Amino acid sequence: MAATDTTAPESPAGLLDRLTGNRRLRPVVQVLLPAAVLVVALLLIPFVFTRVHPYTMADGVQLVLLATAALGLVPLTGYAGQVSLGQAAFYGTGAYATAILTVTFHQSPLLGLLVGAVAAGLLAWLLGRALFRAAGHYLTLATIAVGLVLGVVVKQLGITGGAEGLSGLPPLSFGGVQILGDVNFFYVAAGVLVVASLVVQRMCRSQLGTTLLAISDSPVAAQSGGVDPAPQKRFAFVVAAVCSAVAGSLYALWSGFVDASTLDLNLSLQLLIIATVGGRRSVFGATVGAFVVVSLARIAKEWLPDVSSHAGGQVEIIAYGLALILVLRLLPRGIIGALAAWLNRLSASKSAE
Amino acid sequence: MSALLQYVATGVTVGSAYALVGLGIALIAQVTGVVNFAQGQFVMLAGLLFAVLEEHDVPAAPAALAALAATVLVGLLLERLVLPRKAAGRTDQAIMLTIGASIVIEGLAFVAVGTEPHFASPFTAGGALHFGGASIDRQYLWVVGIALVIMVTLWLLLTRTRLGWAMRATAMDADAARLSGISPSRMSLLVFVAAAALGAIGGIVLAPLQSPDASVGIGLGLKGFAAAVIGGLDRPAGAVAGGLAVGIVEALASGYLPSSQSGYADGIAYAVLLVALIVRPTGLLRRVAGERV
Amino acid sequence: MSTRHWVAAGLAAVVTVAVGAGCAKEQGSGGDSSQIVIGADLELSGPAAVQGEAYQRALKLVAADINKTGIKVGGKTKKIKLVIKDNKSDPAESLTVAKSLIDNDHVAAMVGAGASPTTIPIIPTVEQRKVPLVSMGSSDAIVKPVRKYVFKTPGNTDVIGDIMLKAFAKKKIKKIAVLSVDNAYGQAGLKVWQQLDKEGKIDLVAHEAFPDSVKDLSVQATKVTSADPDAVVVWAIPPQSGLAAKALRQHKYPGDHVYYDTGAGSELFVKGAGAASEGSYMVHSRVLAGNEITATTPAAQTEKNFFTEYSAKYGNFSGFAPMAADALNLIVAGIKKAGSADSQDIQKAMENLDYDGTFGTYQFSPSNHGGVNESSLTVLQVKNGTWSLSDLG
Repeated sequence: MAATDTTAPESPAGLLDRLTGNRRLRPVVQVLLPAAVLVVALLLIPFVFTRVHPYTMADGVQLVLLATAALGLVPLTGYAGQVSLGQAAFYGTGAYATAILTVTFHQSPLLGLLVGAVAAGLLAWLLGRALFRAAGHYLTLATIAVGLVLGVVVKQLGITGGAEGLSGLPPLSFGGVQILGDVNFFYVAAGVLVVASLVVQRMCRSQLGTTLLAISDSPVAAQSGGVDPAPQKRFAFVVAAVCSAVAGSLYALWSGFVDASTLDLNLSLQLLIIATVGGRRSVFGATVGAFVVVSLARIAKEWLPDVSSHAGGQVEIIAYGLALILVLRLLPRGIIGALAAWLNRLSASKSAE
Repeated sequence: MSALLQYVATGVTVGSAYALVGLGIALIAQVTGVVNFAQGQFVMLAGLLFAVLEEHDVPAAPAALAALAATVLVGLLLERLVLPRKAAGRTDQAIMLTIGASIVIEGLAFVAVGTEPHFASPFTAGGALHFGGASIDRQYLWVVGIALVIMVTLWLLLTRTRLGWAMRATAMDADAARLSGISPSRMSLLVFVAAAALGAIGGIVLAPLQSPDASVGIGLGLKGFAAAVIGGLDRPAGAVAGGLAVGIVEALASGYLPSSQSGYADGIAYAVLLVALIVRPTGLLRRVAGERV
Repeated sequence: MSTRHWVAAGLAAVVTVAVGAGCAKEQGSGGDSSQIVIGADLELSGPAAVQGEAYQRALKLVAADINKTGIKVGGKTKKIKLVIKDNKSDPAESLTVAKSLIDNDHVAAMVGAGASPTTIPIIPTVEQRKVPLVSMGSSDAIVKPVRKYVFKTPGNTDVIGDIMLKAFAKKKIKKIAVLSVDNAYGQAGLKVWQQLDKEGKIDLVAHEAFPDSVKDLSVQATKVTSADPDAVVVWAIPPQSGLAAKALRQHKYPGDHVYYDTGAGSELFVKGAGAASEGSYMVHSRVLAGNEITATTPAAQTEKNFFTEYSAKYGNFSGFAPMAADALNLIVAGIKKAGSADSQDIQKAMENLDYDGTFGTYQFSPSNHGGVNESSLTVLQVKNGTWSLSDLG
């Protein structure tokens, strides 16, 4: 993973320095500008998705939820270099925890969200400890196995509603005010996405990020430098789990229904593709990647069935697969990474003039 | 007793499918360092094509050959177009490329054929065979027989021919092999073609039993990956043992779990895999080797 | 102006536009006034695709027939516009599809989903948005408790169990085993038998559940036949129902002791099971044995007509098709009765509707939203490779 991408991502602050020549603005700009761009982009979604066929606001909600879940892959896959195909396990944990707490125990949705995040984090931490000797492909396979085993287990247990799942979840509410309707829910979920993006970004900019990069570049060198890679990678794993769990809880509250499909391998694949296409080293890659994946799915579903009279099935996975292959071969840093590199070159040539 | 025999018989035959997929994955992993997630799709593609052709009244032998040829072509395209040329580019990233290729193949099958299962006729007519109270479909004998032939052929190829020797050399140390005049790039292509052929034959012989549809590839790929990992990615023989083990454990679990818990059998393969990874993360059969720094 | 001023001005402009643009378009009800838009949320892919394809064909056939003359609404003659979307047999996707049909296509009513696991999640949405829904799912949970806007066409699970029970009584069968698929639909079927076992009406000696993607049922067949039941009940759709037939036959279990629920009602079952299905029974509407129906009543004539038309157009018949045909016809009957294409008017009309469909007869009331009346269902049997009327009906 590390061998293909050895440069650290260009900081927008450095970029802006060259444009504005004002170093005192750096801290403010470093945080506010990217956040502002993200907020603007998200605000465009209700505008566009309710007017352009075939998008719907349901797509918009799924976009921000998927982006939130994919955020966790930035420290885990982007920085620590670990491919995880088990994020759906944590998404489902969040969804089921919220469902059980609200439907069976009649607690508030927010408590459900909290419990879901804690449960997922705990599960990730335990798995990290149990699997600490596995690495690379083996750990990837372990992540797949976890998701699949959980998928089977929830279909058998009574408390998770068996194969029928749990339905009748109450809508999300803050202090008595219910969030009804796709557009309103979108604003709440988008807000969560923005906050989560900033938090994860802060984490990756800190010592943790540098350490994870060092570990993925050369584990042996890091170890001889006195750094124990395991706890750091475990922490990244926990962060990824929490992001997915929060997204899963929100999904449960939006759809009012939870079943084993929240643990599906396809979801894990989608998240990996989102992170890769958008850019594994940037939190904004998650949003961009989610937009690309949701759009591809919509367009493929509208157009591909007309190609052949026999067509059926999840034809949009052709688009996912092609996007993944093309990005990995041509734009290995993802869309955001490529954009950052391009802006870099642009300002470098400007200052040379 | 007859029940146990039935479970083991089913387990061995289902496990042969996993073993073939795992074998392909282990072979490619050894020679190129790439984990080929699309191996299960080779099995699906050949089986599906074979069944569809037979449904259109193409006789068995030409249908099988056509299915084999098409699948080998897909394997070739995967190696040449999807994977990066230089070995340096083929790191953990390669697994994601094969994942991408895997779902593209599945998607193309969905577009061309849809999701319906297709039916192929068994190679030899006749009812099920009964022994010791267990009954197995005649086609299963073909599956086990052909699996054995493949494994023996492969073993002979790897140990008794120059080509096999060259592949093993590449697997051990690609740079040293290059210095000896072996082209790792050519070895890579050959091993992909071989694995595709292997998977295709498996798919064709399984088609009459499992009425393939476009969605079976991913599950097979996963179980095959599990088989290869359990057996140790560096030993093709291990993959075979792993596949059979997974098949038998699944069948035994389905058989012996009480009715109310029978749904759990579906996940038993992965649960076993998890335990294996926790206990011995480099594969159960792998020789423990030190890592050169 | 310097570069930084351009950048700042540009940013400010974009922010202003975006904030204003963040306002979403109001969901209005639009649509061409010469058309009535009816949505369909179907399983065109995934494990239930066999049903979905049959539903789609049936809907297109019925819509084309209706559009030959159109429907008179409020003095104008309008045509039906079908918008069919694929839910991939996935409950979550079904929800997205339902919302898309309501928000994007502004449907007046919806047909779907085609199965229980994909119908249940969309119930809160159609209730909230007040769009009538007619489902082809089999689970009772769809209509019990009765919800204003939700109806269904197939027989309820307990009704099917009841009919089978009567057949067992005729044949003096007491010990049964159940093979069911491990999802909401199969579990609903299993529950019915577990309940009947508790009530002492039958003796459930064994039951095995299998995942909906399984390719080999020999282990399950072994366990079930070793308990020596008088009859085996299979609750699954093709291809699993076909696999069950094959596996049971291989274990030398007689085909005429095997009973299937409505889910096996497709040509694909017989194709997949081959000779192993000979003699087996299934609870279904008479329409599946269309060739044998003597058209003595208008209802029987309707069934025979549909059977002939569908078979002529598509080459073979599927027991699932009439369920969807009736779903659409019920909605159209509601529109005609109400004289309006408004969702709420349609719902009110449907809630008090007697209808003779291709699958059977329906008597909807505020306390009965489906499925088809018990009298419409019968026990069919496979004779010489096709479904025929049996003596247990």
